[in-house]
Amino acid sequence: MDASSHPKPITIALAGNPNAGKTTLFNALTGLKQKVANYPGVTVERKEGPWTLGSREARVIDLPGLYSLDATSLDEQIASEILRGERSDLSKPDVVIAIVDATNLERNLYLVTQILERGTPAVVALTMIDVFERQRHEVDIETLSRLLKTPIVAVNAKTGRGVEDLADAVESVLGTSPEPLDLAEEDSSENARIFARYGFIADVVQESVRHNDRDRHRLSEKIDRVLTHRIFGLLILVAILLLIFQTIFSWSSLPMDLLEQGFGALAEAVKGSMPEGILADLVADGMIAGVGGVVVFLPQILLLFFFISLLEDSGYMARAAFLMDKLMSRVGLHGKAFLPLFSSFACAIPGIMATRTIENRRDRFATIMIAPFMSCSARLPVYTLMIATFFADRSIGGFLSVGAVLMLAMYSLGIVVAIIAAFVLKRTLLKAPPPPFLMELPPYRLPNLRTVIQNMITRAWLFLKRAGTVILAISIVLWALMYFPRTAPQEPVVNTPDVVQNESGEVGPEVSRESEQLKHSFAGKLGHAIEPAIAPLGFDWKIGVALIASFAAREVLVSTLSIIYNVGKDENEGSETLSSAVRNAKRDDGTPVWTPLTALTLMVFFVLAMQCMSTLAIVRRETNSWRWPLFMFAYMTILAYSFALVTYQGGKLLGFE
Amino acid sequence: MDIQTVIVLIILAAAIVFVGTMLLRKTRAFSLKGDCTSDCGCNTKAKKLNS
Repeated sequence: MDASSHPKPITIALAGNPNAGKTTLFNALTGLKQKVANYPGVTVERKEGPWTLGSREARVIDLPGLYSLDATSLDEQIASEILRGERSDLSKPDVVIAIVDATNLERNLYLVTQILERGTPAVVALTMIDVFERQRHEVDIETLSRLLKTPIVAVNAKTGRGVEDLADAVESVLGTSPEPLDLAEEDSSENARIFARYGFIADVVQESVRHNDRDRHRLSEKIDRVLTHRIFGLLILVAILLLIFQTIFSWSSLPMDLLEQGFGALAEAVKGSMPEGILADLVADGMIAGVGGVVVFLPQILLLFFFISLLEDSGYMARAAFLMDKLMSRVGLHGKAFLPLFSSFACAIPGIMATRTIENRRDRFATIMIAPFMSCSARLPVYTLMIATFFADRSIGGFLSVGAVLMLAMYSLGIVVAIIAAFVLKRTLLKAPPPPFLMELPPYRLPNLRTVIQNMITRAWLFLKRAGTVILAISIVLWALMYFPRTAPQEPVVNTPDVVQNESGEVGPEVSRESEQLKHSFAGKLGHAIEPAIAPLGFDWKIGVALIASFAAREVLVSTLSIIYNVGKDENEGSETLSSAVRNAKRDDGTPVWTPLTALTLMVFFVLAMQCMSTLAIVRRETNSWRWPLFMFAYMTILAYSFALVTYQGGKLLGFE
Repeated sequence: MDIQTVIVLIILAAAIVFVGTMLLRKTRAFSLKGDCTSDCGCNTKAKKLNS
C-alpha cells in the first residue's frame, strides 16, 4: 500500500527498555509535558499524543518500558500485546519506533530483534548517543542499519537533533512489509531462539561499535574489585559516610551560627521596634522563632545533598547499591527495592512511589512498609539540634567527632531495623520468594559540578519553600495554641516556683509568669495530658507538645521547641540560641529537662517513629487500603517507643544521664 | 479589641485556612480517581486507551 493513500490515522508506537529515553522523545514529538525521572520504570501507563508527520497527523503511543516481548509485569504485558497486535481496543501500530539507549546497546537490541522478527515496520531511534561518544565509543550507524535491515536515526530529544530525520525514516517504512528477521529455525525451542538472538546481537555490536576506552574500563574493574568487596567494600562505605557526616558538621557550624544569630537579632529588632503586645509576640516568638528554627539547618541540607550528588554522579552510588543488594536479597527483599529505599533518604514519599517498578505485590508492599525507616532530610534538623547541643565538642581518639559517629549510628539504626522488619514481613504477612535482579555498574567518572549544584539548588528551594509556607502556617497555629487562653495581667500568677539559671550558672527558685502562662495554654494542657505516657522516655510535657506537632512534618519538632522556649521565656531574659535554651531548660523541681541521654532517646524515637502524615497518605493511595497505613503507624510507633524506652531506661541503669 | 489583636486574628485565621486547605488538597490528591480503572496515581486527565 502506498504511504500517501493510507486511509486511517497513522498509529506509531514508541517502544523500548525502561529509562531509554522514550518519554523525552515522546515529549519532543508531541509537545506534551511529562515527568522524566532517572530511575527505571518512570512510564507506568500508556500515553498518547499527536505528531505532525509531513502533511498527515499521526497518533503516537508511549508504551511502558519493557525489556522483551516475554512480559513479566502487567505494564509489560499490555505493551507487548499492543506490539503483537493482540489488543482488541487498539489496532496493531503502523510503525514502531524502537528506542535504543546507545550506552546499553546489547541489552536494548534484544527487544529490537523481537520486533523485527515479527516483520513490523520499524525505525530504531538511537538515544544517549552524546553520552556514548563521551564515553569514547563510536557506533557506525550505517553498518548497524545494514545488519538490522531497518532505518536507524541518532536522536537527541532535548536538542531536537535527528527528529526530522526520524520523521523521514518513519515515512519511508510506512505501509511497507519488511522481511522478518530470521534468526532461528521455525521449530526451534524458546531457549534456542534466545541464544540465537544474543548471538546475533553480539555479532552486530562487534561489527558496528568501536571502543576507545579499554584502559578506563580496566581501571573501573580494578577499583570495583576493592569497592564491591564484601568486607572492604562495606568498610569503605562506612568510612565514606563517616567522613561525609564529619565534614557536614564542621563545614556547616559557622553558617548555622551566623543564621541563628541573624534570626535572634531579627526577633530582638522586631520586639524593639514594634509596640509591645500580642502582634510583636506573634512575629518574634511565633513566626521568626518557628521559621528561623528550621531555616538555620539549610547549610546542612545543602552539604548533605552536595555529597549525595557527588556520590551519585561519580558512579559510586551504584556500587553502594550493589553492596546493599547482597544484604537485601538475604532478607528476601527484591533487588529493585534499593532505589526506592535510597530515594527515601531524601523523602519517603518519592521512595514509596518508586516502588511501582517492583512487579510482585508482596515485594512491593514489603518495601513500602520499611521505606520510612530511612532517615529522611526532615529528620536531619532534629538529629543536628540534639547533636549540636549535647555532643558537639566531644571526639573519639581526638579526630573523629562523636557527632559524626552518632549521625551515622542514626542512619544505620534505621537501615538495620528496616532489614529486620523486612525479614519478618517477608516470612509472615508478605511471604514470597525474591526474584533475581540484574544490576549494571556504570564506569567511574568525574562528577559534573553543574548537575551537583543544580541538585543542591533544587533541594534548597524545596526546603525554603516548605519553611516559608507549611512551617510558617503551622508555627502560627502552634504559637496561638501556646499563647491562649491568656491569664489576665492583674490576676496573680500561681506561685509555683519555677527554676531559672542566673548569670553565674547557679540554679534558684523564681516565679516565671510566661512559663506559667505556657503551662495553662491549650498546648500546655495537651502536653500535660500525654506526659504520663512519655515520662518513662525522659520526656516532659513540652517535648510532648513538640512530638504531637511534629506529626504534621518531622522538622516541626525543632520549630515547636523554638516557639515553646521563646513563648515560655520571661521578658527580662535576653535572646538565646535554641541550643542554649534546650540546654538550660528546667523541670519544676530544678533538674534539667534535657540530658545527653534524653537527646539520644529522642533521636532514636525519631529514627523509628511514623511522624509523617504525608507518608501515611501516600501509603494509603499506593496500597489502596487504610489497613496498611494503619498497620505501618502502629508497628512503627510501637517500635519507636520500645527502642526509646530501652535507650533511656537502659542508659539510666548503666549510669548515664 | 485593639488593632494588634485584630491583625493577629486575621493572620491566625489565614494560617488555619492554609493548613486546612493543604490537608484537604492532600487528602483529595491521595484518593482514588473516579475515572481511573486502576489506581495508577497519575492524577492526569490523559485518555485511557483501554477504558
